[in-house]
Amino acid sequence: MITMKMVMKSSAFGISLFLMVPALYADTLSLETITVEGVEVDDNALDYTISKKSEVLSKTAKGETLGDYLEAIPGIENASYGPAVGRPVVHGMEGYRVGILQGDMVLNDLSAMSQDHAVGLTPKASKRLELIKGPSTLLYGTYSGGVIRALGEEHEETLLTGTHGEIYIGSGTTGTATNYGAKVEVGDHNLSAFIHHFHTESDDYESAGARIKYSDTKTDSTHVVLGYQASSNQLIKLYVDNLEKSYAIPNLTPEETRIEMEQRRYGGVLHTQSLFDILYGIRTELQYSDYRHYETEGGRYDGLFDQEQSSLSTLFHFDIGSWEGESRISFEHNKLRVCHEHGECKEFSTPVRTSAEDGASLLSYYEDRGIPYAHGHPMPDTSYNLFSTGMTLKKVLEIDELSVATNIQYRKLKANPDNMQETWLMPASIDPDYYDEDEKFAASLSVGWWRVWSDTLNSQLSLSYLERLASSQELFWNGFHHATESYIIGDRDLDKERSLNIDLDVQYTLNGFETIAGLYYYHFDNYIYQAPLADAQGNVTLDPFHLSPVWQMREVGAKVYGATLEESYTHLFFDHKLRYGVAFELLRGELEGGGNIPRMAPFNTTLSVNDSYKDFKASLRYKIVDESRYEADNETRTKGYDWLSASLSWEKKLSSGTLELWLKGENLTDSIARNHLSFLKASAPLTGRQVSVGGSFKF
Amino acid sequence: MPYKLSMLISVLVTTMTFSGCGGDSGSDNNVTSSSVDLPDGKTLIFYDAKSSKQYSYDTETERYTQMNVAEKNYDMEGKSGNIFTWFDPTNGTAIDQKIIMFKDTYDYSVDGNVTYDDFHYLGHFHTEDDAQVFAAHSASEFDPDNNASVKKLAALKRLSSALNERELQKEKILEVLPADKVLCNYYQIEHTEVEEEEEALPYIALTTNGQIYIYSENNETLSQIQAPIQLEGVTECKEDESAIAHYSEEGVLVFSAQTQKLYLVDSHGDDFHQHSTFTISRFLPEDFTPTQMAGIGEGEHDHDEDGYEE
Repeated sequence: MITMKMVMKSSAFGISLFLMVPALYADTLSLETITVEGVEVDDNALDYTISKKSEVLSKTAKGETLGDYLEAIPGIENASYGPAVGRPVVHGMEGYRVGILQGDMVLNDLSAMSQDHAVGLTPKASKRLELIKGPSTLLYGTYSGGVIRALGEEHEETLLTGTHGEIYIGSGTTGTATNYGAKVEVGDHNLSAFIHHFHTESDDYESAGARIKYSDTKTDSTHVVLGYQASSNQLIKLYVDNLEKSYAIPNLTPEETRIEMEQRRYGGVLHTQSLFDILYGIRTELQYSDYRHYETEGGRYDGLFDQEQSSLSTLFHFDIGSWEGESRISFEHNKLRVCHEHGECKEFSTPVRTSAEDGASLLSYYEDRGIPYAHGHPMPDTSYNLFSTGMTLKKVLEIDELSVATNIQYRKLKANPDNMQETWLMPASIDPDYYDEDEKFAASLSVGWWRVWSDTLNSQLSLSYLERLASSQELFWNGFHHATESYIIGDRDLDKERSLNIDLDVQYTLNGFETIAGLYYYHFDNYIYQAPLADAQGNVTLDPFHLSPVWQMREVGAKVYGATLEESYTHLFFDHKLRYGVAFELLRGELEGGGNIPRMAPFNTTLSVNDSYKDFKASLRYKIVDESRYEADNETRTKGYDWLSASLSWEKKLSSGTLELWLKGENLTDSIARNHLSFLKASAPLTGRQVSVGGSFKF
Repeated sequence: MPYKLSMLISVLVTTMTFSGCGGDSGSDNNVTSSSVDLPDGKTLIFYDAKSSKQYSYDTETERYTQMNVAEKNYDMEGKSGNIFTWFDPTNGTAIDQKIIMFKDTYDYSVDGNVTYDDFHYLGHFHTEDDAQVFAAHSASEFDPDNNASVKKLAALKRLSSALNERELQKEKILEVLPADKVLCNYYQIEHTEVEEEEEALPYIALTTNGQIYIYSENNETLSQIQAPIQLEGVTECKEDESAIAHYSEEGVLVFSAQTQKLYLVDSHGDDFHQHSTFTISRFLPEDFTPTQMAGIGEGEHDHDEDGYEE
């Protein structure tokens, strides 16, 4: 098999691990004896999959959210909502447009639904994080912003051998999380066991010396994996994990708003290898998970969300002639229940049904104000079955690699309004098919072209047509949303979101210099987003219950485009390996007919220096974020800021293991920094100066 | 409500206990219920006209008290009555909230002014040893032939005046209520303090099918100010099996014997709406099914503290 890596073997600019994946399947047994510790091999910047060790990312992460771990990667921003919540935003794509998977399964959480809901995974508990872009994303779904996969021990294709472990601890100044955890791995060539427990906890943090009220957070995560080598080519890994998170929302309400979240997952992964000449790997994952979170205000249980998910996914690796292929078939059953009633959401309840007219109050509002306002549970219980199949094919030519990928989805969505109070039901006189079963197809196509122009220059271009099915929340939500202090009205008739995405990346290397330039342009036929509602005179519509602005789910033409530029220079200075870098990021989001898309990351530039010297590693990073210049309607301007980070680590191999100590500082200039992507930018600036220390011991 | 007053009431209510007038405080019948997050600062009295059982519930301490105790003036064992809340402008400078347990045979529209013979007890909070205690005066204390004080007789006059005012309110509502609706119960939200320039507060009209109409008053005429509210699960309403109690100047607590629920209907934005519901059996004994309710004390309006809602 010829891979792009082989094509580029004589070149000076890196390797493509992603393209080696089939080879890894084929040669697993020989790789099993190789132990590489503490070394992170850089991916080629143009790889469709960028894979990073979580422990490496943690060394430069600002905090313990997924967004904290990934935001140093060009093109990725962190939609924070206080220190507990950070969802990655890729090329301006947020929420449902960025897929987050644990292994092959769509993560069971509600972080895409609302900005205050934390991502339901702890990056520290994962082994690797992958960022997938271009055609390869269609294996997992249709996401304009790409896919982020968190991989655990269960996704390793080999069995653990021997006894290994790690303990770690870290803490720091005010508001810095105190982390500690331990993991133990035991195995021979037939059985293995892995357990990892992680705890992180922080008090309210400070910004410019002022305490940010209600910003504490606490997380406990436990992950257990058992492995069994069923046959020479079949490996079974069963896993259980538990995540509990409790965090306050630093919003403007004087009473504490708090979210208590819990998530449990039970699953198994079957790795099958070397079946036939053309089919050399199958990975099947089965999972059941239950996610729940409570929202309290002043101790009152005002909200409750519960989502159960059962998923089955099978991924095939195969060759067809000179084409290398991957195919994934998946099924997902999802059931979502929502309660929102002041003080009454400790558990779900079923409201009474009487002879009263369905939707009487809602109809009154519709007739009175033209908007079917409701003050009950904001949406019906929903469940859906989603069948998805994706396939990628790649062909490596002399200096080119061609990729083509497709994804087809079929979803049957059911809404069950039994949870709704009858007076807030949608009456048939307003929408007769509001609660009807909904069947939809989505078909997406992507092509990619990677060319090695010379020893110093290569490029990658991908073109994708994507269809995204609107989520249950985008369709059905009709009610107040405390976290964003807005009234949100979904649109039951939303079409699938269609977009045309173009990504171009170019890499140029010469004599220690490396330039990576990226351009992207995403055109949406119908960009689905929440738009403020206003009357003909431009006055913002306020809801009748709380006088909060009304945001309506809309689908309008839009375009998002931007550029990233990274320039670095690496050289040796005595025993020092120094790398100097500078990066620029530009992003715009515009709506057809005028206006900007809200919460687009401001322009920014980053200067960095990394030094590797014997047992030491040090980094200095200075980021300058411009003020927001292209706000959406009713969006406030965010001032620019600068952010200085530094880290120093020392690692020593001892006879009994490896000891590592580290020192890290964030926002060393103590800037007042506000994240334009955060709904809480007014009440919760980013952390002030923080210094933390920690260490780990691996054996 | 002014913050200081809210705090004062909050502190006072935490020290409230039940007693007879001049009686003791504390009771073995005082039981902690499960937390239901009712607005703080209210003492609610629930009465079952069928069994004459009577319980009070303190929303601050979340404790209920069995009120039918033989030595108490408010003991209703073997008696029948109708409970009523009276905002008494005692001397024109302050308002004292009182509970009157009328005899079930009394009807102001038929019987006219109140006499001592028309009610069982009149209850309110007394200050005793720096603590607020709920105390009840027996009807006989208002008997002129029993040397009732001038002060007490004046109180009966004020009560009659309040009942007369309530009748006038009813007439105003009936003039504007839709023809296909039947009035079940009603209440004009009252000020809890005497103010120099009192703004007329909204009228709350509950219909027999469980809908609430909200009216404002201008030049003695009512006008509907928003779409009606349908109380969840309420399809039947009778006047003596429902109640509307003052919660704050921005809302009321509505009781329905049919659903055995309290409904917090308030406005912390523009429109009144059913903000939340509270199931009676979650904070009172399960075998108790009240038919009536009254409430005194200023409810602590949690939205005042919710910056997002004001």
